[in-house]
Amino acid sequence: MSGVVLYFGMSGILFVSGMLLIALRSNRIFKLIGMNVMGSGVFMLFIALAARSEQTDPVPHAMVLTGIVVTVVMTMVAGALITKISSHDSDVRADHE
Amino acid sequence: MMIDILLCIMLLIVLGSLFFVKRVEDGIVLFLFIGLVMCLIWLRLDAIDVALVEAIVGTALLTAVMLTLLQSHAVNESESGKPLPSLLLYLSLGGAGAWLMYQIFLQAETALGEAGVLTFERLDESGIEAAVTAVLLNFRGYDTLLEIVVLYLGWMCVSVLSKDPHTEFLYRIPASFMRARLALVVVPVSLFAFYILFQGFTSHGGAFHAGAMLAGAAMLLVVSEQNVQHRWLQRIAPLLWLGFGVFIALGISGHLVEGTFLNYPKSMQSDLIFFLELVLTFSIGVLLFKTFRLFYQMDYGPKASDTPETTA
Repeated sequence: MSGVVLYFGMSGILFVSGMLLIALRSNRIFKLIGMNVMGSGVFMLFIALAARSEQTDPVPHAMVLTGIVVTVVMTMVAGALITKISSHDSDVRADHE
Repeated sequence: MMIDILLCIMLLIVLGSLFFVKRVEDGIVLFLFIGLVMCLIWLRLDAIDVALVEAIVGTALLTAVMLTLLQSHAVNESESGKPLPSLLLYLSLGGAGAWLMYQIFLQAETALGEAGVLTFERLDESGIEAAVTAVLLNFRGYDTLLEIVVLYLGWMCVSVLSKDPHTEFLYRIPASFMRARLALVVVPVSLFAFYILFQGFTSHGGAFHAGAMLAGAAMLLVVSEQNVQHRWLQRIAPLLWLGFGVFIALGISGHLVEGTFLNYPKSMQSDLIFFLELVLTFSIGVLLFKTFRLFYQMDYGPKASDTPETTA
């Protein structure tokens, strides 16, 4: 039981540090990692809540499974956007020089 | 308890170092490490299905995607270094978020939630023994259907963004060396994917785990071969829409027979869900693989990773 409380605190730390990664790192790939860390925090909250009862609740588990797959799709789309934006930026920089 | 504390300390160290590493490569390796520690934590919290998906999809596949991003110009973006003026705002927002989560945890009942109770009560009616698979494909079928739609949307977005792929790869492995060894990896991985799929009906596993493993095997083939214009790439193309089509068709037939969308006919429920899972496995595999391939072949511009760090 006390282990669950520990992981619950950890979920908050994950969420906040993901947020800080987005705020503090200016490289876009680190921002993307930060978004994923934030998501992990939310997943951990769900799983910790599911683990509180005697019999583990399967509904939050199913929701987190859906969430992980959606996170992967989000990361792929964001990665494609990052590639486009940074190649555009480097073109602009090359034109200025 | 000792293990829990140890896992949390590991996670804290990696999280902390994510703020200080300079190179993007190091960041991606740390990200991989976070995923692995999370897998162990899910196991500790008795969420075996989540641990499997986190290992296959959330860690392995995502790290592969991140590593292909190393080809982009984003790697060379300089860090501006100065903290943003909104840091205080973010900190207070984060604090508020943490407090909110704590309140949710305090107020959540220790007993099983209403939905969980219902799931266990009516598990027999779902036609599947495993609770998580029953929730995903029967009780909350809408979620899974729309999840597939999200996968399609992601694939479409990436294919729009990477319009003219060029086939100049940066990481090449000699094909002759790899071909002999590839079968040793790809065949067992594919077989294991089906083992995980069939396990999903009785204990832990399912279509998403298996589909992602198949995608991983296909990704390995593409990454290791120099010439990717193989026939098999075209042959698997029809599988792309099959999963969505079968899902919709089953939903509509359920509407005609039982009167509710996605309510499978009772007599053949188990067989229908089995068939659906099998088709979904192939569809998810092809979707994830196609999206990755677009990524891998995206036009990263001339000399994206060759240019040394330009003086900003």
